[in-house]
Amino acid sequence: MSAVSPWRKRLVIWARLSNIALQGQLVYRFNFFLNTFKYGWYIWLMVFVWLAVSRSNPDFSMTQTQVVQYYVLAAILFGFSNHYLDEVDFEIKQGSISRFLVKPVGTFHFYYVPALVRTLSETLVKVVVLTAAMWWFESLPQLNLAQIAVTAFLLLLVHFFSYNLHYVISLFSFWFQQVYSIRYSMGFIVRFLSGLLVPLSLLPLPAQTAIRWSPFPEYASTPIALLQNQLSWWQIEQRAIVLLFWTAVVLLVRNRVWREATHAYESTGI
Amino acid sequence: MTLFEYRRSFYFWTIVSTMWTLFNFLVIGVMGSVTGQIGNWPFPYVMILISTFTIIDSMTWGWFYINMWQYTSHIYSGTLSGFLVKPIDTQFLMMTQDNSFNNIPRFFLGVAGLVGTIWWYQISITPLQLLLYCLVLPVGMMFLYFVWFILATLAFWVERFNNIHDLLPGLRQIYQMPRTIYPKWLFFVVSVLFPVALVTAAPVELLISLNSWPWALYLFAMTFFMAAVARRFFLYSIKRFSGVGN
Repeated sequence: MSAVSPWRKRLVIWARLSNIALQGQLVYRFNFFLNTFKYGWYIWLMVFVWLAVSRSNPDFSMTQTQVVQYYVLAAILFGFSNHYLDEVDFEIKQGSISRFLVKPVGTFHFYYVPALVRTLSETLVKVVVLTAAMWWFESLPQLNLAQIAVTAFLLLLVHFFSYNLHYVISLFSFWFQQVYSIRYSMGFIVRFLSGLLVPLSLLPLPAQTAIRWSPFPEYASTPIALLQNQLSWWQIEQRAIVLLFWTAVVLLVRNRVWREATHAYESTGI
Repeated sequence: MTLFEYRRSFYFWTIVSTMWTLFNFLVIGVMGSVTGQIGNWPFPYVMILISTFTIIDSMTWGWFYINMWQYTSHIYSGTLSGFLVKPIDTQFLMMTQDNSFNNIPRFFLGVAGLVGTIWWYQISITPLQLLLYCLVLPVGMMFLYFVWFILATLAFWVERFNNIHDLLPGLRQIYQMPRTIYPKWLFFVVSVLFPVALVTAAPVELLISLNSWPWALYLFAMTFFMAAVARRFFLYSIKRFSGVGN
């Protein structure tokens, strides 16, 4: 009897988790569409704000087409960095983490794989609807396969990094009651630093330079610039290296916090 | 009592809400540095609008959201039955049963922003304008709340729509900015058909000029209309309710 390789087992488990996540989306389809468009609408509204700004200032650095493209693309990309891990906080506080002692899947992967599937399915719907909107506004960007492939890779890395960051915050539930307040307070700051609220090119140069050392421009500003042909390959590589660095840091922190948390963990029964 | 029991939560949310409000003002400040006006509204008037939005937002999250979330939860879990037999109007109970003090700091930040902007830019306000602003502001909040209640009552009709109470908070950004930024068709939708933009626009436009009193009157009328619709819709929908053990 041949042994099944661990990676094959893992892939089978991930496929099952993905299937469960997709089924959840279909059963709760009203929730799915509401969540998909709620944050898309929030970013889309910025289109009107910045179009108004560009109309009142003839020297504004972005054309109307660029403004529409910028925020519609931001609305599509927003889902890759917008996570709600309240269920993780809740399960830690309830003591439900114990069940992972008997599950054939690690805690992180159990939460991450469905989250990735949800993000991809929401993004697919947004791409269809918002591409039609950009076509209506005659603001469709000219894309090639290489751009799309590099953007997709960058966005998957962004999703992995941002989810790990939120996960680390959730792990503090082992010690604190209301970690969601930390997440919420971070949310607005991160949206600002990523260029979702204000294009980073409008900030003073020293601020732009400082922000570029953080991973947050990769949430929106960098992939949008990539899709608008505003970055050279060397700049893309630089951004990817910065993001990989911060991903490595957050993984180290996550593993350390998890180790400390399991020492502090107590629950009643299994 | 709950507030004093969970003081740390209150302090935490004070910090969170302060940061959110300050970043809101920062974003507007960056826009103001690019242009002195947004949608033909001079920058000081936009700051007044944002301060008003902050005051309304403190009520949205401190009172409206928590009640609407519990309302839809009771419908979906079937526990609304316990409220139907209480000797108090169920709709009134659903709309007022709970609140949170965590957003009180935001209210004061909004008031501080409003007073600070008027003082800093030496904007002249008459007592009549201030009185009308204080009268129209709660009317706008009530309009918002009744619309929210109508949307939450859809939970009687649509299953597996647990996030229905999140629908209206997602539209808050409509009244966060001057309504003049919208194209004509959208201006008509958000000012006439579904006048959610008037929630902030009506009191602020009265504060800076008395010429927009027709819009304030329209908001009054729509609020009464929404209150009547909310009442009728709730009484009609309650017949569909089948609670636990009914």
